Amino acid sequence: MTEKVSKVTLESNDNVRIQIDRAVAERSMLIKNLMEDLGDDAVADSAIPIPNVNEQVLRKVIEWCEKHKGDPIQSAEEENDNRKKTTEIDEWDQKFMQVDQELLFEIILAANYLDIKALLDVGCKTVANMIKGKSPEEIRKTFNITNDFTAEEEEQIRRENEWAEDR
Amino acid sequence: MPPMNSFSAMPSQTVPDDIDNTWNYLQDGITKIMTNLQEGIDLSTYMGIYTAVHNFCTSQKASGFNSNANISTGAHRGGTSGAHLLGEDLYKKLTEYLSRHLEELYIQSKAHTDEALLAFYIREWHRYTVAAKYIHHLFRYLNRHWVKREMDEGKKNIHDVYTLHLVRWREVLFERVSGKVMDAVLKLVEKQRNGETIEHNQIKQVVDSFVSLGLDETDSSKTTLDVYRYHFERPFLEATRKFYQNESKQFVAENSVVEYMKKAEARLLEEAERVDVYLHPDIASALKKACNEVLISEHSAILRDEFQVLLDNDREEDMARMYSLLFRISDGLEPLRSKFEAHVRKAGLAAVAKVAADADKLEPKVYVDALLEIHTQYQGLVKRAFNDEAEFTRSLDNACREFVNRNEVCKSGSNKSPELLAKYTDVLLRKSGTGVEESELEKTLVQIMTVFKYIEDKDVFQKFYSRMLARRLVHSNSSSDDAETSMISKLKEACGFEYTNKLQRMFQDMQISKDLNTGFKEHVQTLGIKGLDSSYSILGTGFWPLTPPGTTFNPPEEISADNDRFSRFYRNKHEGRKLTWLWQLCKGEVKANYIKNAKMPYTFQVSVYQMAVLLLFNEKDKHTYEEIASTTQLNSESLDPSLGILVKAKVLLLKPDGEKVGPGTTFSLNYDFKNKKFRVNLNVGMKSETKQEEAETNKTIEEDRKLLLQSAIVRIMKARKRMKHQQLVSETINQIRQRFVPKVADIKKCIEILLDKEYLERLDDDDLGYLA
Amino acid sequence: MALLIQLPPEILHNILSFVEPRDLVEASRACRYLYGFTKGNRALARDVYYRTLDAPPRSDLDWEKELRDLVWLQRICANVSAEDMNHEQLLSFVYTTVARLLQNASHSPSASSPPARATQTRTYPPSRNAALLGSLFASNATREAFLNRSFLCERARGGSEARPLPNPPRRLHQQSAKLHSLYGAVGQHQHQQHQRVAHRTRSATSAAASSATHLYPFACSKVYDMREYTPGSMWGPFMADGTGRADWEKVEAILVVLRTNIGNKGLDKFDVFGSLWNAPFAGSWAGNYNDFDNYNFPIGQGRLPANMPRPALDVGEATRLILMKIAVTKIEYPIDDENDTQQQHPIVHFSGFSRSFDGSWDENANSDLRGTASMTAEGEVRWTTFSIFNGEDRWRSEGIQLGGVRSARGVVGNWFDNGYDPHGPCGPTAFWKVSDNEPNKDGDHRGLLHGFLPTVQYGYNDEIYIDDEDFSDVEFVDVITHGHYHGFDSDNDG
Repeated sequence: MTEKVSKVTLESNDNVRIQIDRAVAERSMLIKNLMEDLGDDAVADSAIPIPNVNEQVLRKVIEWCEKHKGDPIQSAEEENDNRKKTTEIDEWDQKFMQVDQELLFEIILAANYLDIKALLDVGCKTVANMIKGKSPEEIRKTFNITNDFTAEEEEQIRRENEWAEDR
Repeated sequence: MPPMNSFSAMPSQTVPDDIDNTWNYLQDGITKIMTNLQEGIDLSTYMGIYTAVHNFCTSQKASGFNSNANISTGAHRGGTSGAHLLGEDLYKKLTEYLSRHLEELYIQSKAHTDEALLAFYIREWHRYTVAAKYIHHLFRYLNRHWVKREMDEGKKNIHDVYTLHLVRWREVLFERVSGKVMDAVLKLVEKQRNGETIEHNQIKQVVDSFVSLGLDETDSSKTTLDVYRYHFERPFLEATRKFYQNESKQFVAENSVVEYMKKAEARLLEEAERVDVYLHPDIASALKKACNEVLISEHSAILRDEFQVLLDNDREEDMARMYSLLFRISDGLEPLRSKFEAHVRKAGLAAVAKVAADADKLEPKVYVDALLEIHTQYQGLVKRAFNDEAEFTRSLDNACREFVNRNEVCKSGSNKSPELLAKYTDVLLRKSGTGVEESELEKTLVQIMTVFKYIEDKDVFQKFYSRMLARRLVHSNSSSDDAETSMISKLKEACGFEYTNKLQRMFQDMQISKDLNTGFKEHVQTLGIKGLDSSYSILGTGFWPLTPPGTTFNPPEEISADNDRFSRFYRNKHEGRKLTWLWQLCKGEVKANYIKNAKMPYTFQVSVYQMAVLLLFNEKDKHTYEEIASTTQLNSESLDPSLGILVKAKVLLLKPDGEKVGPGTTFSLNYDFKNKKFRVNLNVGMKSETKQEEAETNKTIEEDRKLLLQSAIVRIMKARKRMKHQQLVSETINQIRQRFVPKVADIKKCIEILLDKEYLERLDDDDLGYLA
Repeated sequence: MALLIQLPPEILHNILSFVEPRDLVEASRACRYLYGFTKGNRALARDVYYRTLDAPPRSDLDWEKELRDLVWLQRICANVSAEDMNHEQLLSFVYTTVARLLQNASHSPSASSPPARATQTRTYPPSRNAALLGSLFASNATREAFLNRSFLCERARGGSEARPLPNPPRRLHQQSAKLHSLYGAVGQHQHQQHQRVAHRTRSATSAAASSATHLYPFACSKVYDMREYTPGSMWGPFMADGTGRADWEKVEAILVVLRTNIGNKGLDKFDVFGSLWNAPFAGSWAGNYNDFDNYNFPIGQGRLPANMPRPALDVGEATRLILMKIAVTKIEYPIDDENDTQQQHPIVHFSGFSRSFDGSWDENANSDLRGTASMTAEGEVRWTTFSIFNGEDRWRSEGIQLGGVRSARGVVGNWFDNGYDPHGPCGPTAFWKVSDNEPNKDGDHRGLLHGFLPTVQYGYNDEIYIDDEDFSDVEFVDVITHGHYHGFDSDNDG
């Protein structure tokens, strides 16, 4: 057994290798489990391929992980408690998430893939905030969604959502 | 796309959402993990499998999904609407794969039996669980979403991937091979019990495996021991019982009970160690219980029978062994305790009988030593063999109480034990030539207290003790104040303040008297009178067990002058107090200057009565009995013995010679008195005197008891106001038991007396009422 | 470019679990995919419900319906229009939805809130539902539209003086009165501005009195009207028709009277009153209906003579605070199963005692207590209490627990002579739970009294001695209002 390695290398799907601290990499449950299973030797000399993430997104994710490497890891129980969920996002994260929508979604997808729960939630909250308080039309505009309802359908939904007696 | 290492191309690039392609890809990897993990998994394979699972589960895209759904039906599609998550196919495929794999293992297992099967099971279990952990990680995306959603919705048969592995193992393989595996385990254990060395680590691993399979069906986050208990503990305990039943039966038939106990002890220790070494702690108490039952309970009868033999032969070590064995089963020790109690009582009675040959001449020390010896011997046994257990101590106490209070010596009188004990104490505390060491004395007093504890008639002890203490104090022949104080505080500790109150007051009186005498001496000096060298003791009436003299007495001039001076001095100090002189206890010394052939004058130690008689002879050498009686005013009961001793010692000569002292006789001074010592003690009590004293003491005891009973009854009734007759009797017994064991008849008599005196009244229904 | 609706459903779910209920509705209207995604998505509705509201006592609610009704309620309250004012069905919807939200309010302290200090009076845990409802009725217009539609309020607005009291009472009047009662802070909300100033300047008495002037006289006239005390109404705040249904307009009137009296006493700034009488809506206490450790209420009682003049009243009253402490003695389970739906709850018998807080100048405050809590046909909780002096029942009270089982709002009703003396005296009463203190061995009431400690400033002695030897379970506080005893005039009765 070699010494516990302190650095690991990730390889994006566009073949860029990025060396980062072990603690940073372990924000990802995927990588944490991988190192637990395969042992330090396996990652000592070779890069870990990340086939679903390109360099730009990977660097962004790593930036977030660097910032949050000291955060306590949530237990599964806490994760499932809806009452504890807040919609608040701290200031640094808000700034961090000020990116174009496409990158935002890619960060969310990458966080989901790499299993970084906290980053995934920050991303989702950011998107949720973009929905909050908007009319359907505003939502369509924000997210570039086409209104694919027929006129009759639209009328039907409007009625569904309006208060009426006997319901 | 970067080139992938040795592993085949990612399925995500080919047909991402096709279950068959995805599965084909995954199956290669899973099989490698399942069967060939030792060769290692490279990073690309690991990431490849994880990514394939991820990509499959996320392959559902909005495009095309639901877009042509009729919205009016949307509300009715329920759970199958947009919220639908992918993963079920993958879960199914994995489940099928595991079942196939385990089926394969089952077929392989048939080729093995016994230890080979054990080795096979353990090897495959290990391989399988390590793989399960990998696969659990690699399928984490499935766990996080699809499995979680299914479980949230309350699906009971969906588990996370690791648990799925265990469930499959249990259902496909374990249920079919566990019996054979257990057989192998039990064979191995039997081998070990028969003295062979075995690879017990194997058993430990089987245990661990069985325990891991205890999944709580209702809550997958919890585990239970049910599987382990049913498949492991149950057969294990059964085999254990059978083994030891057979073994012990045979052993008992061929060996002595003592040998059997050693064997059982060793086996019990061995089984306890077995739990620590390779079993689950859960089995500990059940295994212990099973062993206790077959090794001890089933043989408890012969063990108990052996106990008497061991007692008779003082086999302490074996008794200790028997104790520790029977201690393990319920109600195992009670028969031993009653046997022990009977044995100690018998031993005590025998010891007393040995010394009681001549009860009248029985030395107190011999008697008390006999009691103590038995107690010491069996107390030691309780300590060393019976773990100093409270229950055995109680049996010892019961036995001792019996033989201390009811034995050969006590036959002549039930007060004999406390009386002899008090007398022995007096011997110890009295000044004597032998001079017992202070530390030795203290130790002996502690032993006295041991016997005292068992005495039922503690009031009798108190009576005798206080009389003898009074004598020691008045005659100042106590061996040491410290020892006296120590004894009193011991009694106080045992019986309370009330019990020793009078004893302590007696002590105090002596101290006060000492100071008083010093004061009086100074007083006399200032008066410039040359009086007697006298010393007075002021004894509080009621605290001392003393009575005023039974005779009139006219003290001689020399004494009365000093006496009156002291009386005036005392009255001065304590106005209104009345002094009564206990002449019978007074003593003094006179110098005989008249004896012819003496090199130096003799000194006579005499009672005051004797002194009064002798001083008469300063006037003339011859006095008639009548003259002496009229001058001294003594009655014949006091005068006759006093004269008798003077005559016997030849200080006075009696005329007519050989006549009994009494009216008509004449006494003359013997000028030719001779003695080896210059100090002659003439103040010796008569034998009959002490006998009388004893009888008197016993009489007062009876009277005191009546008073004690009456005051107890009144005290109870004052508190309760109304009580049933029977209730009152038993309550009285309770209160008084500390002092003596009252007879019910006596209590009833006392109640009658109190009814007559109108302290109590009869009410309806056998009730008694208190009259204030 | 990646679209929101192209994200895997698990991610979309995660995103939408962070939006508000109304956003969910809006999003579903954006396109077919989002419509299909949200429609019938129980898991999503549940997640949003739990994030937004209190964890309800039951976990099998129709989450989608709950959210939809909430969104409607929000919308209705935000846009009150003139025509809504007399829209009975609309009021009815508001009424049932509010009641349900209160029913499902939190009864377990949220993990984040620190446990109450042991020495302090414990109050109910903060409730998201109550807070949300409070914000919904924050505007005057909303309250005017829904809370002030009772006959009493109409009368106070003027113009209806000539109108006869509707008989039977109109449903709209009743529902509005009930909402008003549940809302709390009765008769105060129009003047909250003044109230706050009054608190700061510590001249609460005059401010509070003036703030309620417009309702108070009319309320008094209802509360002290002996004609309302009939066998049909069981002398309590019930309908006169003998059905045992609650008469919410009576309850409303009682609350107005008591609220004014509390204000007059300057008591409303203390925790024990403020949290319940000033704050809009209340949460729930933990436990069940028959779980009696959970009922600790202060009582307010107003007392006036039987035959008050018919015109609006404005008489001086005195209010008393009384500590009540009760414990369950017996629980009687319904015998026949036919009334199953109404009698799910057993009759709970209790006993205890009451002690005056204002020293002991009124012996009527110090008595033994007994009583029952039971369920009315409509599912309201009815409380009957008896004050016992020298072993005899003297006063009796009948009340309704606002907000139903477990509600922290308290019980409101009437007190009267136990012999139903038609000449009175009688008056309004209210009691509400102030303490959930576990019975402590040494019977220390300090914890409860802490809520009142500011009364020291008013010359009260804080050494209130309560003999508690025999009472170990539940503590109460009682507030009583004294009126002037007018001469009895039998002609007026009838």
